[in-house]
Amino acid sequence: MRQLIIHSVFLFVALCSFGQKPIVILEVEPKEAEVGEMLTITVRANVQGEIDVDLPSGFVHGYEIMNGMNQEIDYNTGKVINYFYLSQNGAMPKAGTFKFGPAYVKKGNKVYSSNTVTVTIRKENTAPVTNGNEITAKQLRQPAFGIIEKSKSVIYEGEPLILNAKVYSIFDPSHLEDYQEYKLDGALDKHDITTSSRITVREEKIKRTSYYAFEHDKKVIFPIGTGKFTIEPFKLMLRRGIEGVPITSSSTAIEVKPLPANAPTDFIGGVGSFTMKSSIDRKTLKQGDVITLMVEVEGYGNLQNISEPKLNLPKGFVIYGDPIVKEDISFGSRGAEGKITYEYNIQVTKFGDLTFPATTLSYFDPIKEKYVQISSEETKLSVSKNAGFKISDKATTTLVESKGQDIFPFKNGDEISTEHDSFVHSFLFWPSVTLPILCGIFLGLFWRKREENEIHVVQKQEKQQAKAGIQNLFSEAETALSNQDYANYFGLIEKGLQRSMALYLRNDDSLILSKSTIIEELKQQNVDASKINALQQLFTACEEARYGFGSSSENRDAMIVSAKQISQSILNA
Amino acid sequence: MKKWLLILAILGIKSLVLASSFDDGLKAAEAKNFKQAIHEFEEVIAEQPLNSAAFYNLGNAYYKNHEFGKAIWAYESAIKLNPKNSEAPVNIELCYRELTNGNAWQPSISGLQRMIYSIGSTTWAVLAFLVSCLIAYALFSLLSNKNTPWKRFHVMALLGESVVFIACLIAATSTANYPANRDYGVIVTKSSPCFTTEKNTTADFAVNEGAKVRIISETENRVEVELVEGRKVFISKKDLRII
Repeated sequence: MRQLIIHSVFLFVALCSFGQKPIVILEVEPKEAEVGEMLTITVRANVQGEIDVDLPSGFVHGYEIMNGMNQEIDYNTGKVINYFYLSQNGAMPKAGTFKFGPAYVKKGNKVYSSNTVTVTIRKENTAPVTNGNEITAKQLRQPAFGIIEKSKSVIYEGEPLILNAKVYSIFDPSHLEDYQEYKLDGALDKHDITTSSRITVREEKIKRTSYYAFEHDKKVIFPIGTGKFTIEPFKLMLRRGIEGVPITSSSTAIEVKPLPANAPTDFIGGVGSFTMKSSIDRKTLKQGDVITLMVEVEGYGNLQNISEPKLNLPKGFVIYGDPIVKEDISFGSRGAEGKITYEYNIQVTKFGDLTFPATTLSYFDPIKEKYVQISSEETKLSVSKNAGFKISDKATTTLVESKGQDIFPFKNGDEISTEHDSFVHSFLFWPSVTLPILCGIFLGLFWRKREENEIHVVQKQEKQQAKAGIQNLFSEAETALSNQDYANYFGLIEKGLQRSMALYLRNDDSLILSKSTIIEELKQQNVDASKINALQQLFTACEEARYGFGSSSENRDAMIVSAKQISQSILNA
Repeated sequence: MKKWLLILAILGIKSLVLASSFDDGLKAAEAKNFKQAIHEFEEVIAEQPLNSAAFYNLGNAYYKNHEFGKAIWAYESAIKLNPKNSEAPVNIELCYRELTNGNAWQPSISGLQRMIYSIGSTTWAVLAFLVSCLIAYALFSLLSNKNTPWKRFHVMALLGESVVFIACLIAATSTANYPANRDYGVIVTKSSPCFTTEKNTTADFAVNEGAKVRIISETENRVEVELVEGRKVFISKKDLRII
């Protein structure tokens, strides 16, 4: 059965693969990068075969290569597609526009080719500052040292800051260990640009001396707040084989300047360089119809932190709810780069030839050091009259006032907190929560004591009754003596003594203990030896009188007296 | 008798005046005279510092008057007095959206604390009393009977009830004390200079309007605060309103 299921699954997968059209897709991320920045090239194909990619000349291959298979569902057809993929990283050493691809998948005699991707490689225009001032004479005397490279020393609030650790050494390092990253207070919004733990060493000259140098842990940071910030040093152990040199880098400082005052009212909080496109899904419609306005903000800087453009619409247009936001952002050496699309649903409540106003927004350009306003073009709409449509007064009012979502309205009634005068603050609180517990303890102890007293009284009464019973036995023995029934007389004395001892030793006179057990236990309880001897002699005398030669009349009379004395003395001890 | 009547009359007039200020605030807001509304609600708060609705309405008035830092402070105070208030957090988010200065709302208390405080200290106190009665019964049963088949059950119940009892006591006292805590503050000026020492005269950097800070200590003119990223600095008292 198990074999059958496994074969069925394989057959299904094979049939799925067989039934698909050959697809080969080439993807390169990011499509804009700097010289030396890592690119990831991925080839996905639904046919399995030998994969090859046409790469631009000079492309430097990285170490990270992955391949495998995954399944995806085509939501248009509902079919499962098996994709074989190959992923590789690398970098371009020079600036320019380069064509990647096509990728080829060779299967048997057939070759399937993919699309091509164009990638723009920029010069390192935001290259971290590496100047002699960062490196001290003391560091140059070390076999290896580290500095923190930064893209700028002074930035504006919201402007991305690129940081990386840079290590110089006089020996060719093999790897690094125990890396503790540099720290910047207030750097809550930070993103890794390079994540590889491998190091790529190159030679650099500082003051005519050649050093092996490499960069590590490149990050883009968006500091919060303004003022001077110190970047705490990074630490690592630089290895050459098994030998290692511990490195603690120098620290560095940056200054974050506040944005200039008097920001435009349409400022979206963006700091960087942005463009905007807007479009409306249709231009001919009926009164009351809802149009979709798409506003696309594209660029780089603090794109991830911008707020939506505020629409300032005239009467006749009502915004419905918040816009739908779609983000396509990646973090690189220019900060957050990509685009954000805002989709607004707007109801048109007037009819005629209307003009949908231009959408405007402002951002701060840190290079020009000023606010820049960008806008889209106006759109002409032809709206036909709809007799069945009624304008809601409320909607119109919202339209006039609203530039997005409005706050919740005022409250009409008081809501006074009672916590200040809470019962917890009164003197009654602690007594009321602890009193039941104390009562439980006292009542429990009282109840227990009472029950123990009751048991004690009952036990005492039972003991008294048992003693009376033993006295009766001895009285019966005296009667037997006067009747000259000697066998009964000695038997009753023995019985009386045994019951006395059982009462003393076990608190239960109904138990019948052997004579040897009685003597043994009395010794264990450290009863006076003279009493034990007397008891033992009485037992022996009784046995001899009953089963031997009998006894003299004086001895017989004395035995009952002696038995009573021993019984009383032991029981009252 | 006359004395009591006089006291009652004074109290009645006082509550009428307060009700009048509250209503006047609403009327001023309706007439879009938000400065007047702020004045009226501040008057109510001066007399009733535990009136959550007055703080909330004050926040709305500040918002409409484009004083977003003060609005955030008022909304935070409203949430502190009434953790069940669901509108104030949304309005705070809108304030931060208007400020667009890199700050974002961080709740002062966790969701669990909010749930605990919403229940109210009196309810927790009653629960603590009921649980103490159960503990009393378990203790009575354990102490009065030496060896019963229920002994194990009573021991387990006592342990569980003790934990619940302590939790109820902590919840009751922390809920009752929460409004009186002066743990957080909000920057209400456009930008507040931050000093690394109490006596520094040159600011090292600044925090923006609306930033919520944790109060560490207060001196005559400055307050030592912890910023959201963990830095401890001194800021001027006038730039800050304590929640």
